[in-house]
Amino acid sequence: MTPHVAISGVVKRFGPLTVLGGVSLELPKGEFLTLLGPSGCGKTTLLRIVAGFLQQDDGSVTVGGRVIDGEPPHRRDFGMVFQHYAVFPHMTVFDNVAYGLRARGTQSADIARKVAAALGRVRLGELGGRFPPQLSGGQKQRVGLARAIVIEPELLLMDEPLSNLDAKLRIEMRQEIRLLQRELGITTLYVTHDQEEALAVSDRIAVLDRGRLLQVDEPRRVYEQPSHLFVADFIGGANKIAARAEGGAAVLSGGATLPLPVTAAAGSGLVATLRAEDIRLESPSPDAVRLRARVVLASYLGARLRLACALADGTPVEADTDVGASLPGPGGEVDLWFAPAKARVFDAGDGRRVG
Amino acid sequence: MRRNPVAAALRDPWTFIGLAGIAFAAVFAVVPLLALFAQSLQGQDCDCIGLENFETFFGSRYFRRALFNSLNVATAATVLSLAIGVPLAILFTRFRFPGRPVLMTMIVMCMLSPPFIGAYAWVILFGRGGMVTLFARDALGIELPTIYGPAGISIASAFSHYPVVFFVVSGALQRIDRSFEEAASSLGRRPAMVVATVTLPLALPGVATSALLVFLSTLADFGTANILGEGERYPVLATLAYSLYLNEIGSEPGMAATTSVVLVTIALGLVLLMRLASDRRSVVGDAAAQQPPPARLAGWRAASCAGATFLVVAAASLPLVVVCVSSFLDARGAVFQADFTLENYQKAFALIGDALWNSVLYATAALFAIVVMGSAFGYYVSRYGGSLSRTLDLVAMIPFVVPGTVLGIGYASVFNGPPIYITGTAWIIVIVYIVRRMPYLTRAASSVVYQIDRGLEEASLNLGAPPLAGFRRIMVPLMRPGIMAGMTIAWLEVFNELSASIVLYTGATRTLPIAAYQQAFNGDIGIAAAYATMLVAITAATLAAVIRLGGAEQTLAIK
Repeated sequence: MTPHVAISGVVKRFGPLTVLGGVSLELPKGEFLTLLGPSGCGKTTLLRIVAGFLQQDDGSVTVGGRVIDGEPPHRRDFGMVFQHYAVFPHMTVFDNVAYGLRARGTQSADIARKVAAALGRVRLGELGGRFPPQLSGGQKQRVGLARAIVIEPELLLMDEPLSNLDAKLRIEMRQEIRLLQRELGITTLYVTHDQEEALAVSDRIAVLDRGRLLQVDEPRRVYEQPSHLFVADFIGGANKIAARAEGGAAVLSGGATLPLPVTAAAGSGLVATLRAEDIRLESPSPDAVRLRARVVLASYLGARLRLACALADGTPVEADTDVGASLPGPGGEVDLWFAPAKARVFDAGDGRRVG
Repeated sequence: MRRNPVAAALRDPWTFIGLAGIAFAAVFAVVPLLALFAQSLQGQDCDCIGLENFETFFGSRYFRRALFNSLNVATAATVLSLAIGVPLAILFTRFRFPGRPVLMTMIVMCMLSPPFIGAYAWVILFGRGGMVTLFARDALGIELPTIYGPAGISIASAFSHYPVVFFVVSGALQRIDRSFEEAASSLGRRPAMVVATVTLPLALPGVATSALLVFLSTLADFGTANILGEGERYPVLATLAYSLYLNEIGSEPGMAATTSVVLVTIALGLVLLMRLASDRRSVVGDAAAQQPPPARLAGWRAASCAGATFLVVAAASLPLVVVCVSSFLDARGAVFQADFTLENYQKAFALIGDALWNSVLYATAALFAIVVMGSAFGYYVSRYGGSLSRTLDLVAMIPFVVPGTVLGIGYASVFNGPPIYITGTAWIIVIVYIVRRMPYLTRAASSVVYQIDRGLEEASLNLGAPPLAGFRRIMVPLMRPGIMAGMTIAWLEVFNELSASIVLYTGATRTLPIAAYQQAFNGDIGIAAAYATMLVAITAATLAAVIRLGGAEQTLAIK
């Protein structure tokens, strides 16, 4: 089956700076794909190239079998939701949502019906006559969303749509966006720097770093099987422990050996990652690995206790423990345990996964 | 597949609008200047290129004196304007006291009336047959020094240009984060020292900018210098270029162009120096800091503040009052009598011919073009980067710096034959109006566009509206306040324009400012006062209309 959206080999340079170094990506119809990465990774640039606001230096974008590279943005027929809402301040909510329909010469009876339906979908049914300055941030973004979906676009583009909302509203809105997208079956390209948001809403996540695509996978695989040290660290966060390849296994800097096969030349530098929630204060299994550490600080986080420790060589390690666990005070010694299957091993040089 | 940026630009209609703007500015701003430059390099007796004209200019005491006079008067006017404008700005931004709105109105009127009317009022009061001069001589037996000459020109210029200092410095003061001053006073500085050590240094870029503006305006002001310098008696570069141009057929061809080139070189040189200076010492960001409201003054402080500012502002506004009052006085010879009459207006209307109608027609036509082109160019300059947009920004701003007389002389020499033959027509006046005052609109539009979220236009494109449709439906409504403000200033400046049109008019294309100036320079003092009053009245009526429509704040922000 041919993909609905095909981005192939897209390159973008700003002067001497290469922002996108040949990115290729395919979205089947109806997929919700998130471009995730830190600021400056090129995710917004890629979105704006697809929207037509930027021209790529090389490469091509195909949507619905149609090469759109030369097309000006107003002929592309993609809905877009903007970070700063971009709701026209001099038009009512109704006129904002009707704007794209009017640009398409839709009959006014159809406009009224479609706008009402779209506003209903984003739960703004009664606010059609309001002007944007009278709306809250969340309401403005709902208008932006309604305006983008009412034209029934081939592709929905979202540029950090939730980053200007407060934390609680963000969670509420992301669920709404996800439900709406599923209901309408619109292929969606979504940009965010918030890994939790990406995990929550996406069918697949594409992780970008410095203009390169590191991994494109389902949320669960991106979290559990990161293909790159950067991915492991950026998504969910991870403790990083220096290691060395010896006899096909990784030997941690403290001396413990990970009983894991490692595909790296003997003696080469490695980094083992370990998530805080995978560390225990008691041995969880017979093959568990033990790390000797010193407690630095215990932070109470409500549901759990975040323990900041340091290994003998100073490497910081964070572990999540039960609130009720009995702990030594700051400076006290503690044994940290983990199942070797939970650790991931990467090449210290290029960040590739090696075990 | 490689992308071609040129091909992408050619698909954008704005590229063509930008190119059209550059072409327009090139033909009507750059070419006339280049023509003057070429003429100034033309040898006197041969067809060769050389610096002969400049040797003549700098070798002659007469020309050197005009150069010195220009610099002298401009410097003195600048210093005086700063002395009036800066303290006023500090008082107005920091304190609230009775009478502020009235004072504000008076300052605005001063700024927007043609400077030569102020000069003429000084003649009515302190001229040879002036009211005060005669009163002092006849009743008190004192012979007052007359207003003619450098001191008079400097004072009259300062009183008509100090509002620029006031508004620019007020703007700078309002952008200074007040916590700097609070920090200084918490560290033990007295208020006056806080102003001296913190406020003024931070406002320095604004002070410098306004000083430059006053200097350039005085340098370029033809009317004031001609009336108070009595033409040849105290020549400055602007009046010299004009009279040389009128006598061009005579002995020294090319000297009008040479004088113009000297004038433009000084102006451009100063602007470039300013650019360099401000680039080197970048100013503190003008992030909209939370500002406490002006302190409310009461008792003797309020009284002395209000009293002092009122005195200064009233002195500056006096000329307008004098002109209006004297237009209703019986004028016999060169002296006003203390009898009220409408005779001046009867004579004025009998002689007005097409002048009023011409003024309205040309100003309206020019304004229309200024608004349409200025908003489009302003938008292009502020939204698009790239060399095309920067070039447009540069060439469109050139007329801002070039004195009107110089531009007029350039026009007269370039557009008096094919390919563009418009000398003597109304077109040349309308076009010189457009070119000189479009920068107001371009500036106003681009600063508004700069504040509008780019996402709005992208949303419009994304929803399927073509670029120009999006501009019309999204940007134009949002730019309207800025455009309105720029329009107000442009209208007043165009309607009162003198220094370029005085070079270019013919009997059939005479305008009201020209009629007023001619009568003031060597005509009937009563008729001059009547014409001048009409100009002031139209200016005031326009402002009143704008204030009623609520656009006053933005209008002032542009100037």
